[in-house]
Amino acid sequence: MSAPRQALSRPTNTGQGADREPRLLEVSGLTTRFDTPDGLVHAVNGVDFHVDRAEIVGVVGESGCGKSVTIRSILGLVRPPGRVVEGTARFNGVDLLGLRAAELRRLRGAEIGFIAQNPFSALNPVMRIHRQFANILAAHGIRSDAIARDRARDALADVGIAGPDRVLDGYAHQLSGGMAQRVVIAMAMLLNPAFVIADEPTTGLDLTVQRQILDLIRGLVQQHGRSMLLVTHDLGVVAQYCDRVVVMYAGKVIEHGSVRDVLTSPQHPYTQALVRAVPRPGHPLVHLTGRLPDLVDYPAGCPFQARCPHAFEPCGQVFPEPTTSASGRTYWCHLSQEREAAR
Amino acid sequence: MSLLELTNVSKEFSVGGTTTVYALDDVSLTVNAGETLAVIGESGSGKSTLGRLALRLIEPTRGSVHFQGTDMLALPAAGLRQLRAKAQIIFQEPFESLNPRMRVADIVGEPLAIHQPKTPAADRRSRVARVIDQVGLAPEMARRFPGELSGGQQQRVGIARAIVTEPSLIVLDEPTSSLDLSVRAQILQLLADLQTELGMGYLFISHDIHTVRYVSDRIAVMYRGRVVETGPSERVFADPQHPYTRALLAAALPVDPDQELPPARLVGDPVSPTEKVSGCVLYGRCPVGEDRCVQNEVRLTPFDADRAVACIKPGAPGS
Ligand SMILES: Nc1ncnc2c1ncn2[C@@H]1O[C@H](COP(=O)(O)OP(=O)(O)OP(=O)(O)O)[C@@H](O)[C@H]1O
Ligand SMILES: Nc1ncnc2c1ncn2[C@@H]1O[C@H](COP(=O)(O)OP(=O)(O)O)[C@@H](O)[C@H]1O
Ligand code: SF4
Ligand code: SF4
Ligand SMILES: [Mg+2]
Ligand SMILES: [Mg+2]
Repeated sequence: MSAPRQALSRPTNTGQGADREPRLLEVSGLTTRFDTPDGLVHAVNGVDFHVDRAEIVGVVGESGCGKSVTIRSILGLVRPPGRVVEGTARFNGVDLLGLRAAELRRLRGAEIGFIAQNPFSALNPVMRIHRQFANILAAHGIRSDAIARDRARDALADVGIAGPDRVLDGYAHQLSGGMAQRVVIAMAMLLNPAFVIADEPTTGLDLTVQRQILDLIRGLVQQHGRSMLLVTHDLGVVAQYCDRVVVMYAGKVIEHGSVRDVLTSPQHPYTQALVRAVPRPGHPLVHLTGRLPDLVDYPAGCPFQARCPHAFEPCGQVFPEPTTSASGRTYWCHLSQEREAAR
Repeated sequence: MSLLELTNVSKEFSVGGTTTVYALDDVSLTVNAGETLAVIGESGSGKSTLGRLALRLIEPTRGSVHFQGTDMLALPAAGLRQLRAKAQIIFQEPFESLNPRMRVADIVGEPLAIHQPKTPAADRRSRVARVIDQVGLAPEMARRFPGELSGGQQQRVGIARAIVTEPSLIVLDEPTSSLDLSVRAQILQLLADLQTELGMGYLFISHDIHTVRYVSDRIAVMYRGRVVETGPSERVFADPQHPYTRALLAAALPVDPDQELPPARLVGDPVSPTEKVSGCVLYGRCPVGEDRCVQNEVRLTPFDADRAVACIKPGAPGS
């Protein structure tokens, strides 16, 4: 594996200066492994990215590339045999990875809201919805049931649920997928967090409901100057709802930048393949052959080399250095040197 | 003879003894050999319920299900077991459908062990290794447990298990929802190749209308337990008639960040599935609904030679 890259080598990264306010979230060198009987799974390998205030950052990448493990690492939700072995995740300057479990629990909910992928797995099937809201508030010192009900009603009204009492007095199974997802969003927003992390919040919802949910989340984020990290497989969601996007491959960030830069002129060959795979009526489906490298026997050099149509000699030796454009788009590919030389 | 034929099927669940969920309401459809019927629609509209009914994993409240001409509901247990080898399902929630204590190779090989017990162990092993490779999983994944896989990897294990016996019918319940585009295309290509090679029929449930457009021959659009529009996919996509179909197709998000997003066409929430609907199921959210839409039953009616629509004013301007 290549040495961890220096986050500070990125010219656009000015958030670390002593006189500046720290970034909302600055992840650097994040490395998470799972110690399995077959060997160490290199799930996340030196990930660097950041989220600024009042922006929505998308995360995309092939399934298994480490999106969920990255999020779980930041939130302190990685369980043995998994372990965060290296890196920092500074939230307003405080390294989340160095916090004690109780401090992190307080922060999750109060300052960082989490919207899980499957709403029904996030809701307790045998507890009335009202109790679940009350429990969240109780964990943060609000113990009065009457106040809890008021707060829950307001939160449900914010997500567009009319007649919140009917929902609060009921159980999860009585909700449709779209309603359940709104309830989970209301819970994530209950303590008014400044930062929201959502792992595929609309996968499995039909497009009309997806649209309502995304408009709603965006409204809640923008209205309070919040920020969001949004994991999705849908480049349409990225194009329409995100400001910047982070592209991951085999546990590494391989390109990030503004949505326009990345989607309209992708530079990394994997991002190019991803954008080409968008179905276009009347054209055959384009797909990438091969698969992610073995994360136990992690390859030296660029992890995309086995599938890359442009792979050349240096690709098998070292992981490429980052290349950053004036607009802040960064990518990690040896082709950049050739491109530079050709100029 | 159709491979699969559902006739006037309804399914009601009772919850807590007092409440009834109307999950499916008088649905009829067929799947032919070598053909893909796509089912798209609202979340909670009954798509997964339909898929489970088709394989008799659950029993309908009313209606009949025939597979290769055999009445599934009249089959004794032994006959049903035999049939299960020929009709497989890929579940929507990959993790919940995989046994957490079995290794991937054993999960994928299980249908072979059950349905083709006479196959020599060595043949079985090589079949399993081949399908694991076909779905794009690395050979070393075979030794892992489901909990050690990402969502998309789990989904591929479900696909491998379903195709290993080379069945005649596969119900695919959102088989690619947790896969990114490049892997999705790879799996779709695999499914298409297998269909050409083996003449399988697919009942393909999906929210992804881009995908559906590619893979399906015919399409059924569902809303609140009913089929509201059906016909050859290309025609439905090119010229949708039901206001819900129109809204659904218009809600696709353009991948071009410079393309303006049109305003959403449907407002409000779908009617709760615990309410019995009289009249049209879209009334209340429909941009062109009117009083007469709830005064009479609105059911699927032929629109032209091969299409049917459940709306009193199909294709109305403004919808
Ligand atoms: N075992 C059950 N008990 C009670 N209600 C149920 C049960 N299974 C499904 N339902 C309800 O039946 C309706 C149809 O559910 P189904 O799972 O078929 O929807 P779907 O169209 O597959 O939705 P999605 O797109 O969200 O997967 C929903 O309202 C659901 O809550
Ligand atoms: N508990 C675990 N044990 C071993 N490997 C794991 C575990 N959880 C995840 N992994 C592996 O880590 C990698 C990244 O997984 P994940 O972050 O869930 O992917 P995704 O990008 O699809 O969210 C995958 O190769 C997955 O198999
Ligand atoms: S570094 Fe080499 S192998 Fe990797 S993406 Fe660039 S050209 Fe391809
Ligand atoms: S029947 Fe009426 S409410 Fe129903 S879809 Fe047609 S116009 Fe809309
Ligand atoms: Mg994931
Ligand atoms: Mg379903």
